[in-house]
Amino acid sequence: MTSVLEKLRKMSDLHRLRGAVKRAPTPAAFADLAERYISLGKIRDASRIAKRGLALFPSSERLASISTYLRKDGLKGEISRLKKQAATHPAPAVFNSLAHCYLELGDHERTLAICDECASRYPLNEKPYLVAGEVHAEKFFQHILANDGIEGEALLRRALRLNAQNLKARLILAQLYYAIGALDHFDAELAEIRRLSPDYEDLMIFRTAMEVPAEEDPSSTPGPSTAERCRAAEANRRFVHHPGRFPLSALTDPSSCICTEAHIDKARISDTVIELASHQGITNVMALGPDGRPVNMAGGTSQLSCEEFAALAAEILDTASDATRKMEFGALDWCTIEGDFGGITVNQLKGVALAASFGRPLKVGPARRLVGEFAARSLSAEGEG
Amino acid sequence: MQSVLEDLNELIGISGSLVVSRDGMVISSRLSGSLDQDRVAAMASNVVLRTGRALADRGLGPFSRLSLTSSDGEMVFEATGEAYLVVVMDRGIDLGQAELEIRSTARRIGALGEIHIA
Repeated sequence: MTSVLEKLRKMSDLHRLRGAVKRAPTPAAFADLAERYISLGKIRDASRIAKRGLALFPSSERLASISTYLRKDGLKGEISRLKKQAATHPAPAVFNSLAHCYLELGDHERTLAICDECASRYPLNEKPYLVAGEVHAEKFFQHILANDGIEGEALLRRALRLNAQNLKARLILAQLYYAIGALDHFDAELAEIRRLSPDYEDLMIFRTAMEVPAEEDPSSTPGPSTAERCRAAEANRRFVHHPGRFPLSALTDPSSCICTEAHIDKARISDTVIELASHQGITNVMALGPDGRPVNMAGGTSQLSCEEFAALAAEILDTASDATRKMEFGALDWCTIEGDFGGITVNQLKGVALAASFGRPLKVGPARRLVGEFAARSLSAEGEG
Repeated sequence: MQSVLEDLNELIGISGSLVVSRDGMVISSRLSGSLDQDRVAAMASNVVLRTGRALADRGLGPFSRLSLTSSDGEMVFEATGEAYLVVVMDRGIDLGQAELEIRSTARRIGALGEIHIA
């Protein structure tokens, strides 16, 4: 009886949500309806709604994450089918499809294991080197660890030795060279891409429009090796050129680049900092941009001045980001520290960090909620409902 | 101490735990096969040392708890008296239950008395 009532309640809710999408099609309305379909097990309907919503609101993060969830759910069935096929009828294409499924799921470890197996069975097939190279490039863009960049380049070069016409390998290499500022290699890849296909004119226009400082000019004296450039990126924790700005990324998940840049509205962030600092229990607030420099700060107490807190917050953010990067845990979202001095919490969103120190009467849970709300408000995507 | 860490690691979503002294020395560790022992130990020492120094430089005392949350995982550093219990977790673990277990484990480690560096 209860389950029948529950089902009726969900159906009536569904009717209401459908009406909401028709009356006022906002990202939130589409997302609510898609989630309701998921809870009812209507996956195909959920995908359809998420797709429609994304077509209207391509910058909606909520719709994008629903869409990713639905795609990943579908991949699990495909993996089980391919595993059976690999056991009964092994072939390079089967291993490559399996590796791609794991790559789409973001499971780098399993992807590389499948690539290893495929490469040992079919050493003259370029695909396992290409996929493994893509994994390392993706990891390099995410965590900025030099070894991934170096290994990625070596694997992609190996794929090209087996098939010099592999456009995907050349595009990923071009993105990698662009990111580390190896413009001589970048230009060489662009020349090959142009030779292989006339469809990449946008890339050539992008290169022409690039502003290149004199020290990066490839026509000047030879610069550092790519390995040295990768190590420099790791040491500086940033790329010479933002890999997210590279047009026509050939990565399976182009959003995996750590530096998905937020549009920084300095005035809005400044308002946020001032408003948050006025909250009872909050003692210092500061916002740090993607370059690690303060955007704005407010507060200041007998315990720590504004400037002292700014320096401390930057050190904490640096230590915390370094730890998650080296653990390959992806981009840092939160770091919270508690002690007799009170607490400090940092929330990082799209490369911009909002840090606050707090004390009585504010406890850690409410302080984090408050900082999270303010960070989301000042950095929320355009058009999000 | 190893058995205390093993008990904690039984909890779903916890992939490893270790004890690090306040000066960054690893005292004991139990990590799952997917975690690189040296990398986790280096990361944990680095966080304890750098954060401790940053706070001390500004006249603030040591931290009692530090948590890091990222897109693919979480780490918690809980003071045990002379050292820190460091717990590595999957993202999305039920933090309510995990926090209780982490605090109780930190107390058990603290109650073991003087910590000997392995």
